[in-house]
Amino acid sequence: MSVELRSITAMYGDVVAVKNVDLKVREKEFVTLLGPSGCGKTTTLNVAAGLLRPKQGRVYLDGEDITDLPPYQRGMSMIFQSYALFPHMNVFDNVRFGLKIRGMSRQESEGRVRQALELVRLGGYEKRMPTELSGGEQQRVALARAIVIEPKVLLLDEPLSNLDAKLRIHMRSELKKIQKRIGVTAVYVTHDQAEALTMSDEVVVMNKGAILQVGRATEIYQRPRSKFVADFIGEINFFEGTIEEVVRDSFRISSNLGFTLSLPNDRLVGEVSTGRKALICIRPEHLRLTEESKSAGVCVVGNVEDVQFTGASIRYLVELPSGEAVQVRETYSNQSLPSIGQRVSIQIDSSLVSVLEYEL
Amino acid sequence: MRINPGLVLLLLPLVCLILLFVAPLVNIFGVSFYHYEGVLDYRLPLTLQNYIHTFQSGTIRSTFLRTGMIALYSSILAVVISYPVSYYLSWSTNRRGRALVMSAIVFSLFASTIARGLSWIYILGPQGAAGKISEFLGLGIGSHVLHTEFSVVVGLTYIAMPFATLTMISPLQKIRPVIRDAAMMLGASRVETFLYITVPLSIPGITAALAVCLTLTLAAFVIPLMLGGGIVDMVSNLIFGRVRETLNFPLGSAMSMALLCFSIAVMYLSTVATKRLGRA
Repeated sequence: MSVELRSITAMYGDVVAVKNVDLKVREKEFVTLLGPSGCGKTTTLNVAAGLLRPKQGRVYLDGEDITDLPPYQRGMSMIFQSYALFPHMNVFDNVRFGLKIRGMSRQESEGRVRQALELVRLGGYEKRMPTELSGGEQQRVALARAIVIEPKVLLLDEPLSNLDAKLRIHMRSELKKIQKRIGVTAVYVTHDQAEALTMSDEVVVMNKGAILQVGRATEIYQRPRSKFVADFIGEINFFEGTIEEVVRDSFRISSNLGFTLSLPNDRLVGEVSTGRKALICIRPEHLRLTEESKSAGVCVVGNVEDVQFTGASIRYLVELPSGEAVQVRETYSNQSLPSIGQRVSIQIDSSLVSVLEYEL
Repeated sequence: MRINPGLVLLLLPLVCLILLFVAPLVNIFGVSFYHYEGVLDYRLPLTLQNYIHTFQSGTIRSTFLRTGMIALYSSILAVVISYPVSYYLSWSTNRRGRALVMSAIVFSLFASTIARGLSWIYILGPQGAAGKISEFLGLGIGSHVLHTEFSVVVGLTYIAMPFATLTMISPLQKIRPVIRDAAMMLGASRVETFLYITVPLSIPGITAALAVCLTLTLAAFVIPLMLGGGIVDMVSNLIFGRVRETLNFPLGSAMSMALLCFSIAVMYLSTVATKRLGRA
């Protein structure tokens, strides 16, 4: 089933939590609302769920207006950050709850409950109480409870953020697998960009109650349309620059640091016109360090300020003569590392640079 | 040997408890086995006579039964009436509303039981609001309300309510709102969510409140005296009567011990009953 929010404005008391949000989730898609805390992502989810009435705007399920339906008549399921298992019921009764409410007898529902528990690999846990389960097990019970009713839409509110790092990564792929297997439309809320990038068919980046960008993970990462999105997802370096010249479908931009880049027009978000100030965005992994003497192509020179070995890669902080710090990330391959204080040249791979209009 | 500092802190309350509670209780327990000869004259040998009398006397037995019924009725009523108030206080984010309700409850505790009992005499008395309303409705029972078991139940319910309310707030606060959201997302209407989720999770609070109310009402003295008017006596009134009229301390002590055991039994049974109710 598809879900659509049309110009939703929602308030908590006098505080506007989301403002004029439009969101479309296509059938069987996994869409993630990503943003810092307080950006309105959970509010948006609660509006879709019916737990919060929007001040303005409508909610549609498969084209049907469900704005006035209470949560228990929407046929959606929700998984909460705090699991929200019923503490007075064992695992079996927790999972069976939705079926019991639908008037299904114990015998009728038993098979489906067991099937759901098998799906989340908790067969044999029926008699346990929620307090006897680990966080990961509790969240899997919550998942079984949510999918056993065969929901039209599965809503997930930061379901993994209370789990430890390793389990979180494992559960990501498990959740995604189950979602694809049962073919349910999923709306996922998280502040964790890694979760968003790895799990989603589509990522919706939110900030301050508004949607900033919608797109596939690679799109969001490689072509951020605003400084916030560029900055929030992954690491990035910003350099100020001025557009020098526009030639048909490419333009030339010179940075304040002295280097000049020639880029196709589709790299620029905003208006292409000579003399405009713009922001050059470069990911740390798109930069390379070389010895100053061997520098070639587009490059800037600076002093190594810090070297951080993070396992698979090495993160350098290079200070430019202007005082700016540049992050560089290289894969580690047993080479001799530049030492702190060493003078190096930073090579810029212009094929992966994007440019933002300055005042965006 | 190292002494646990926590034990040292417990010493003072322990001494107080022994001096003010355990010692008198032991004393009463002892006296209850003495032989009553006459006013202030009780002597050895130890006898079970007082207990035998307590169990055999029809008046005493029926008073115990009445006390149990009145205490149960008023405690259950107090818990039922207070539940919505506690429920409101446990989740409301409206600070003003909460402060208002809370101060109303606390202020009612400031007034003495005598004053509060007196106000019910006015309300339930022949000239009171109850009488006027029943007259208006043509029920014609107005003048018969005071000095009945009903009026005692009303008074005790009223006395027990603030205690029930205050006792239930904290256990109800432990029910996380997200649990109710989860139930509603699984298709449970508000009424179903209340019945299947909120009520079972309220059982600890209800049990505690019921125990507090029973403690208060089983040992009630002033309210049955004022609203029962000597016609509807509870055990405390009876004990006081025996001790005051005949200075029969041994019998009074035996009846007190019986009341203690009776109270413990009633509370135990009611706790078991509420817990079973929660599981059903």
